[in-house]
Amino acid sequence: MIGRMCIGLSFALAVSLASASRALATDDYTLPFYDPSISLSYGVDRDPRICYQRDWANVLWTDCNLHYGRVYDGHTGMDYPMAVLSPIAASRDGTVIDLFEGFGTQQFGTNGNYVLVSHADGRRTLYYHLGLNGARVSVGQTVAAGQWIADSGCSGQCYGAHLHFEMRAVINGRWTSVDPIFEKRFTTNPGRVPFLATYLRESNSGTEVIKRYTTVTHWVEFVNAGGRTWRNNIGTGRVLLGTWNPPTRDSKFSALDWPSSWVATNVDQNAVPPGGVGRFTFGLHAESPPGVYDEPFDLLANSLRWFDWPRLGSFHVPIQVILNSRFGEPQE
Amino acid sequence: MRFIGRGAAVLLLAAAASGCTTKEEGGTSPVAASSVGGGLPSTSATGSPPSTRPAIPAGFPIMPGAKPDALPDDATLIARWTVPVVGSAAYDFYTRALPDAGFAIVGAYPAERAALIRFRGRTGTIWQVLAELVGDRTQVTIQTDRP
Repeated sequence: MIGRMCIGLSFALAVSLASASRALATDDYTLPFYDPSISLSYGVDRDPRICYQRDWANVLWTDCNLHYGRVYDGHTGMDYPMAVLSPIAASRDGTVIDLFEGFGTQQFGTNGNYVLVSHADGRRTLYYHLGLNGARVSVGQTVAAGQWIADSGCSGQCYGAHLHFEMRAVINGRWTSVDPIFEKRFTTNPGRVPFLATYLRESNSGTEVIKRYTTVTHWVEFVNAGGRTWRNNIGTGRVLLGTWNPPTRDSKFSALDWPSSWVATNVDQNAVPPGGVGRFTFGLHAESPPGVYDEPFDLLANSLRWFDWPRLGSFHVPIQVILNSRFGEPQE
Repeated sequence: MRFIGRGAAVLLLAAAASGCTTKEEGGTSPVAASSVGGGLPSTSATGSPPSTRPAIPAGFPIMPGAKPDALPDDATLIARWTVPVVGSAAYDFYTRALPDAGFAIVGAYPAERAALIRFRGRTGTIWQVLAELVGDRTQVTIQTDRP
């Protein structure tokens, strides 16, 4: 299939099909992983003819060669290179209807490990080549967009660790692979990862000076640079600010408004759509002896995954605790 | 000759005897000569004379157990081997061995039955190594860069 029997390459642009893609754009799926540095290896071949390849940009290649970043002949999904045991996310809310996880992480063969999810719009998504015991969900379980559902691998027909992500829809009574990139069903093209943030500003970018036994209010704002809406309830897309380095560390500065000893706060707004600004307001209570401290935080999505990518960097609050004369401590 | 099959060794000697020299990246290999394809023309060129094909990048690592294979009549193909493995072994080998040999990986594109790696040498030339399933073996091909 990938041999070089057919030589030659041509490009064609079907304007009518491109127009159709705009009409179909629904922007309702998200990329099935968290690492924003991962890029498409090969997309769906939308031309059923052998050695005719129509890629997600509607370019036609009349050969059988691999075209990196685009397509290879007969491909039914999207390949995303990633190291084995990388986290894989559900691309939309749904229900797990099938899975297999018994093959070795890099066991080559006809079949490999997978998770199959059914969605409310009648489509299904397949996450393939998973590692041994790589499913983090069970059949019948409901999953949320962006939820960590599996660990990647290279099981089945796999020539290098990657995720084969496939979307299927019933067309003419048959389950058929479709191309969500061409249909613009991803938030952007080639898509955004589910959860990503960029630092914007905070109430005090310098050192918070806190009198011992008192509380100050601090807020920080991040731009939602990912593909999913942030929410502040327990349900889908919950994003919170937690302690970092190490993660889930009990903080010496937790205040009464903290949901737990390591969760400073949920995002303030009910919903922060992609591109919006989420504010996180929380108290910092000083019980520690006078001195200089540093309190690192990070964002957590769906209680599952930290926003610990270089794009975010480390967010931390320098703190100086000073004596409080009200409690019998001498003034500085 | 630890990583070069017997056939390749014969070809190497034949190439040396014929006076072929490396045109790209010549003499820059940081890797032991016994494990690389530096200075070699195509290991086998059935469709076009070796002089019309680009040379194997000097220092290009060759998988253990690789045996040279014939090339079709396509001057953009530089060399080809088969290795008695399937799956990710070739991809895993080259994603490690190319940087170790001084090449920069420009992009790595694994798929179901094949994997492509684009890599750059010190002079800036970009090549591709393609590993693909052929029968019960993997065919490894060096080729010039293409979209």
